[in-house]
Amino acid sequence: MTDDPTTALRATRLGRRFRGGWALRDCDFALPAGRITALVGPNGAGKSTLFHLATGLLRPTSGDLRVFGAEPGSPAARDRTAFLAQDKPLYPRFTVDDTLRFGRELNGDWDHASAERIVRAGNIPLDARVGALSQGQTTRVALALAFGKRPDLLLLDEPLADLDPLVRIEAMGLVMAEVADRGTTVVMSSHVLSELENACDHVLLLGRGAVRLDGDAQRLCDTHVRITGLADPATDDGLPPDVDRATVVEAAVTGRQVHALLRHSDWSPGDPWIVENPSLEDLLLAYLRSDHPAEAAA
Amino acid sequence: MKGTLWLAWRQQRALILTGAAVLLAVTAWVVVMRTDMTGFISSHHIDTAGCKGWDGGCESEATLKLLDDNNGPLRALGSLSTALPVLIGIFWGAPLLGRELESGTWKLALTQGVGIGRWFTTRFALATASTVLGSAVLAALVAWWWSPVSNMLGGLYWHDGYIFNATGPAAVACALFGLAAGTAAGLLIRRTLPAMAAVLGAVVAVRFALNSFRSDWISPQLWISKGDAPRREIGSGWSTGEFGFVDAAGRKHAIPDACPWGEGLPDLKTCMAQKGFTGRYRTVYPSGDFWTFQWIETGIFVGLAAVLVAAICFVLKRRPLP
Repeated sequence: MTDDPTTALRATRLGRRFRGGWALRDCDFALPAGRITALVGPNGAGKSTLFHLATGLLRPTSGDLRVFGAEPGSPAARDRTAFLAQDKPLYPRFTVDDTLRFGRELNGDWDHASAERIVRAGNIPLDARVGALSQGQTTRVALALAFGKRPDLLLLDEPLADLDPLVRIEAMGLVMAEVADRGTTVVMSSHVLSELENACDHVLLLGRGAVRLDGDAQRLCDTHVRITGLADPATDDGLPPDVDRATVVEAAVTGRQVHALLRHSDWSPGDPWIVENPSLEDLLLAYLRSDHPAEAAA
Repeated sequence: MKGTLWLAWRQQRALILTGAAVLLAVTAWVVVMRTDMTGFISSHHIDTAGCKGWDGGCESEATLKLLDDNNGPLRALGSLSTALPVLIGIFWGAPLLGRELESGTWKLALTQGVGIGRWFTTRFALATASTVLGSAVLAALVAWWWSPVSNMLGGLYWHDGYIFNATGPAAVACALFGLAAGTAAGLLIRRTLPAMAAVLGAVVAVRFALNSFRSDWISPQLWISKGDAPRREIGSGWSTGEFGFVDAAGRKHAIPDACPWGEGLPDLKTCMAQKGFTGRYRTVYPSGDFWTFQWIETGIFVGLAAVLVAAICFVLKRRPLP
């Protein structure tokens, strides 16, 4: 395996099977370093499994996953990776101060000042018990612990779930401010697509354990078109017969109109069609709604 | 404290401090009780050393009071020491990994800079050290208080559960087994409360089995009294409950009432002659066998604990955690 410094997370035919079947199977992707990747997919798509594989908490059943060229869970990979699990586990009986000390004692390279600054900025008393904090405060302490590690790769599994809108914005702002300075690579899963749109510049879409879309967010938007026009009554999907059906991600007829999302192709719609580039949220929603398998684009 | 040792201390300090406080209080109580006891012994000039066994021959108002006053409290201390492995398994072992797995904090701990090996080893080592120290102190307190009145008249004997299970190296080894069993249960069951129930069942079951089969480990001594001479007294030994007659060929007949004693019946000598018996016997474990039994059970407990620790390490090495 080549240790490409521009690749933070590389999967090669990665698979992980549980008793119920394959959670991930034959996944190939390379997530670029220094970028913020949105990990998207319906529940059960394998997002949490991927995070657990990337932290070494799980081992792959088949294939290989590398963090900056190192095996996940190895000392080299552990030192560079910080992980915020979905349930944001912290020791409830520890004080905030204990929790930060936990980070200091268990990590060689630890930025205590940064961690403390993040906690103080949230007006969280250091002697408060973690179990008594609000969800927003818990998220902030968990993020402080993650950033104190000075990670090169920050893995956030549903960091915004269960947070009220104000706290969500605050948490996202905190993540963005911290990673901007250091050029940290972030992989973040979320169901809140509108928030990913503003934050992420790379997309990895999983569905049923497979990679359905992997690429630069802007390129993906540029290489897809959303078209709206009069439905063709002669076809099932309302699109003209000369559209290459392999490029259709999603098509829906409402009344006499058809809305469709297509991958870029030679076919160009004529004058009566409204053609626009989709927003990232549009694009992701179309893929999430559709069952078509898609090649990795861009 | 640094690194994982700090984490181990931070997570276990409540247990360590509570345990130390209880142990300190128990020690103070034992010191007071034993000082009273030795004071009573010397003021009543009781020769405890020369009064061992059921037939110690020193029955007096003073010796009966001595035993009356101390048997109950000694049994209470012995019960505490006997229960310690279960308590350690429940409150120390089961949450050690079970609570981490249940609350998800294992994901936090194992994605920091230290590996799973050091994380587990340091925490388990602190728990082990506390277990050995705590159980050894309690076992020593039992032995220290009991020794002046040991194996004496109607008092507590070395083979009584209150003493045998509560003192000696086997008590310490059993506590280690309790810790290992609790830790393994937490790891495999992944939830604290069911793991607590499992370790309670496991330690009680092993203790029960050992108490039931203890007399099978080694052979008792055969004590034969020739002719119609009375059988040798058991003294401070542990009778197996088997006794009877031997014939000229040396065969044992475990029929205690082969020659009943009563009106109109032949006397013992005549009866034995009629039936061809040449003597009487009983089988007894002498009090020196205490150490043989102790070391056998120490070996069993340490062996079980080692198997469990090896299993824990095997499971921890093989990700995912169960």
